[in-house]
Amino acid sequence: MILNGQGHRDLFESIEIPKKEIWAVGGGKGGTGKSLISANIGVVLSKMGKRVLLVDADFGCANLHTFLGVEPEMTLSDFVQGKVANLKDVLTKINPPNLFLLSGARDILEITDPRHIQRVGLIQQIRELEFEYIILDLGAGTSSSNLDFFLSADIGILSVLPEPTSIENAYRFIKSAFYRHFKKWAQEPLAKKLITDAMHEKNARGIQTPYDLVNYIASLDSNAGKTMRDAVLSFSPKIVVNQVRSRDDVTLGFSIRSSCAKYFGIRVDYVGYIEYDEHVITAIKKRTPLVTEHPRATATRCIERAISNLLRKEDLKIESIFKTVRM
Amino acid sequence: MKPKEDQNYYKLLEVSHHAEWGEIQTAYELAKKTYKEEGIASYSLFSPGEKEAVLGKIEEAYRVLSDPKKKQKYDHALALSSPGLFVARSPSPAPPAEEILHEDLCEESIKSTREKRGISLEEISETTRINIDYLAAIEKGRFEFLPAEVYVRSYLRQVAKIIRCNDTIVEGFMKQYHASLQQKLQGEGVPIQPKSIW
Repeated sequence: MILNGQGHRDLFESIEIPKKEIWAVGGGKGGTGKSLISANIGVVLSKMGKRVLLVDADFGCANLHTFLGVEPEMTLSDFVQGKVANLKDVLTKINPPNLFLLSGARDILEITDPRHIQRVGLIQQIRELEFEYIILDLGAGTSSSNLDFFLSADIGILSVLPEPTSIENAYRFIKSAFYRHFKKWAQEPLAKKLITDAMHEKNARGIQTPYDLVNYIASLDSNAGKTMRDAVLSFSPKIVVNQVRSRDDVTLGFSIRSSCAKYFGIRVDYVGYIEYDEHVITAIKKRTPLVTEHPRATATRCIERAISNLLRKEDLKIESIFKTVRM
Repeated sequence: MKPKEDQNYYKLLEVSHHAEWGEIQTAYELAKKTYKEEGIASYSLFSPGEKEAVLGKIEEAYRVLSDPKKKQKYDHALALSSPGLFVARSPSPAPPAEEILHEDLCEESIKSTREKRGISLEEISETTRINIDYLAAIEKGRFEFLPAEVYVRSYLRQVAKIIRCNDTIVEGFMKQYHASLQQKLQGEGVPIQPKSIW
């Protein structure tokens, strides 16, 4: 099936690299490939010579270290519990050089409590670490700490499987993240209250989509309405469809994009898909990153292409898929 | 962000105002896939009724944008109502004749497409084993000479395949076929109602 055009070599050529960027990989459901994508983004970027930090923000179910084949001596819990004063001291160094892991807690319950994370200002502290790229691997679900991590990132990536359940959860995640993002932008108590109301499916004002909400707020206060419009424009998650097996699975990303535009009125970019590939499983079993273990595998090339799109701030074009994908 | 109601046809199909024929066609195919009943990307957000409404608008948009004449008229009206949309617009090439698949597609285009491909009626009849008189009736739009609907549809599919046309040509023809059927019934004063099995 694979894509056309751009050869592997020029995928990463002439890309301007920003000083510091945070990418979050999330999605509603477990098992959609968040850790796989995060780990391999980390390895690819560090092989490009970037200083990269991978953060396992799946508190309680952290296993990003397994994708990378390391056994962290220190984890976030050592920091949260105050055993270590500096966040820098709990990082685990990984091969290739320039790649570091901030491992999530594996057995500490209190860290899953979002109040704890807020208290230590974890997001801010992570942001201040000296790296060119910080990749956040989020847990499943729409907990407030998950949403906060997602929204703190410069680029929010959602990994989706071509299955109704996975897509449904991705929409739920988008909706929750979007309203939380909205609430942060809203200054007026009235707007905040309206957003809370709108979150409930059967709200009395018939507000069903962000569009309705923005209009309603604008009808009450034009300044607040303008702020909300900016909030809509600044929210633009990226989609990666994982484990695709057919052309229909590939075009699903465009369908998701269209549905989000028509239903929520928000722009979602489809940055890439990963073909179903047995190499993914063999790499995980060997506990080595896919891109290192199988550099020429189909899935590797798919991931690299998605990363290239993310770096270039580009998305997949419908025409290129319809013309080139043959399965 | 635009309200669903005042979205123009280009926005409905999610293409730019400069979209060329191929892009419009692709966008239309994708939209049909997305909002069809069993489409998994839309099912948890839209109710079946909402999907139908979206599809209806998509069809409407496509009907206009896929027809060079209608499109030109529409673009003109759009440019008047929202100046700036079509700034520095180079004329978009018209769709290739064989790909005009809109509702008004008539029997002449089946004929002209066939002729352009250099395929004779006899050849089609030989390959498909369809009576050549039926094939001629299809091309001439002589609906009264055609057999039952189910056969006509099947004939059209086979013809479309041989002259390398999209299946949409079948739907366009069937719409006309139905219209003529109804006209005929009305003309004869027969009430239009489902046939009784008795």
